[in-house]
Amino acid sequence: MSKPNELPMIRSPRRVALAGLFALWGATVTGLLLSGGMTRYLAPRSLPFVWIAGPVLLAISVVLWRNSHVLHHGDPDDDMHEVSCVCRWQEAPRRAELSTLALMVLPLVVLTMIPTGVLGADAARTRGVTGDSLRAPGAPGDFDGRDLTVLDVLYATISPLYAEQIGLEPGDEVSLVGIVVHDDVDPEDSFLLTRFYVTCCVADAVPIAVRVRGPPAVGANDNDWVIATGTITWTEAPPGTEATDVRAELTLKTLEPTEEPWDIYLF
Amino acid sequence: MSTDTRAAERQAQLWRGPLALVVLAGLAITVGGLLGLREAQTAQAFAVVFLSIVLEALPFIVLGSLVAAAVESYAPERVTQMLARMPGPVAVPLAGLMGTFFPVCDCGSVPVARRLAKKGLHPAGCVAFMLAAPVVNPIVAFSTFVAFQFRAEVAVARMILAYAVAVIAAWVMSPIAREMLSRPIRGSVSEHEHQGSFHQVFAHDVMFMGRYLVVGALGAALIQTFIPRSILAAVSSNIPVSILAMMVLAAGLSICAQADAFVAASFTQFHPAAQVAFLTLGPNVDLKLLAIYGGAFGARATRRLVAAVALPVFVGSLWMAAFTS
Repeated sequence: MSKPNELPMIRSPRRVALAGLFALWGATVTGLLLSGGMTRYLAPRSLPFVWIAGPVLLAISVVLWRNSHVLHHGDPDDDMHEVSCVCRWQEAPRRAELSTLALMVLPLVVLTMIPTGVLGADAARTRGVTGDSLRAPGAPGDFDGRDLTVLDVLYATISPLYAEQIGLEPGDEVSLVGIVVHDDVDPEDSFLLTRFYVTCCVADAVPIAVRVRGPPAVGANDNDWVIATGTITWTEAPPGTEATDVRAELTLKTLEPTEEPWDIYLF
Repeated sequence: MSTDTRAAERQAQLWRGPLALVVLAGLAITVGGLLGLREAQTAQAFAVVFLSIVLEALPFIVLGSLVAAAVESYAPERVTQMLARMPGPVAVPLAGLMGTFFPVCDCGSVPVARRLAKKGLHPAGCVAFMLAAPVVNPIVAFSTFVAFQFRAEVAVARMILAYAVAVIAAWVMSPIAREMLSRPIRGSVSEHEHQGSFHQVFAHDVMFMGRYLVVGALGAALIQTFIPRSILAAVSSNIPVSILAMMVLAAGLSICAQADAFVAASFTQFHPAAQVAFLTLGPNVDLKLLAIYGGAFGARATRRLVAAVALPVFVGSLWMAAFTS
């Protein structure tokens, strides 16, 4: 409440909207980090920067809110001052400012609309999934008893040292998890068991795959998450030479459906 | 109509715009739900790519805006005077190397360059910093080294070409660099507020960069969702055409410099020179950056900047291809 003969303070709609937007973004980013949902979009190696951004956005929203009062110019003793006050009108967001706010809200709308988006078989085909070992984007992380992945197998095909390290040889029985992706030339009993390798964010995801063959593959549908168990084989690169076009192939014994894993992407 | 009623109506009108936005957002979410977008595979792929670009770039915009706000509000006068005294022939090559000690992402480098120019650093030096810092830094050099199976040639070629392109482009832009970097920004929600206060400068820069980031991310997500990369395979044997194709791809995909090497490395059918062209152009010219440049510098300066970057990248890559063949 303003005292008599003292200019009152009002909250500026523009500043309140800005504070609200920063608060929404800060809360969304922090919420995604705390819930683990951020790994649907970003690789863990990108997260430290996001851990900084979330709290900064929240803190700035508080500062903006605390500074959202503006002086209400005009003579408070004048009955018409509410109508004639010019200052207030300047505090309403203009059309260009509203379009900026709308653009900044758009990602939050998309996130609410499609909260569990994921790359699937179509994305793998668009990005050119092949099953070539040279698609392996570098060495996998430490192999300390974790489950074998498509990336481990692909990297083992081009690095005898890594194959030895993880104890993988052609003819071994392995179980791999991935999504089913068919390409145009696939026979009925074959598909590409695919995972996406993400370096920083899903925009840079590279589909990597091991070709799977065998009767259990018949009837597998695109985008199904499956555990493929069978015998792995590949053409070994001669020692000391650079491998080119090595392809691993899994001859299926069993194919079981499974739930989408917590770590959808390989990082 | 009484004065009270009119005042109340006008009070409501002040909030009409923000409230309309909230209603529109709610409506969009409801309609999206009714259309079943949550389950549609194409919509999912589009959404996840769009959001991942925004979520990845936003922290860098926040960090860049923090640095820019700190430069604006707290840079000591002694330092800014020293920067202002630095002549162009010294400022440009030095600014091109600043990313080695002060790495910023491509989105974050634009506000920092604008604030450095405002503080008196030679405008062409600011352009050199803006173009070089996202690429010529140890983080990007290491990620390129790893992505190309620990072969140093591509990482070294990328650093050299990116630095040369930044310096050349800075000189090409120098006649209009001052005007370009000091261009007033319209439409940012805090534009009418006083500049100088840390949080206001920060909010201004985040809003300004953020809206163009969203526009660019929308374009990149559309390309990533609907255009198959296999169409590039047809041109991979012709080196000049393959270099051009990889440059166009880099501009369309809008991947940040720390990660783009892993994507470039997956195009094994392309000549390394074409991969280096992809790696050098992408962090300087892509859809999200074009939107940001357009808003910050205007259409004319953006066209000139794109040409000043793209031509040296193309010529440098061709020379590299000739040199290595």
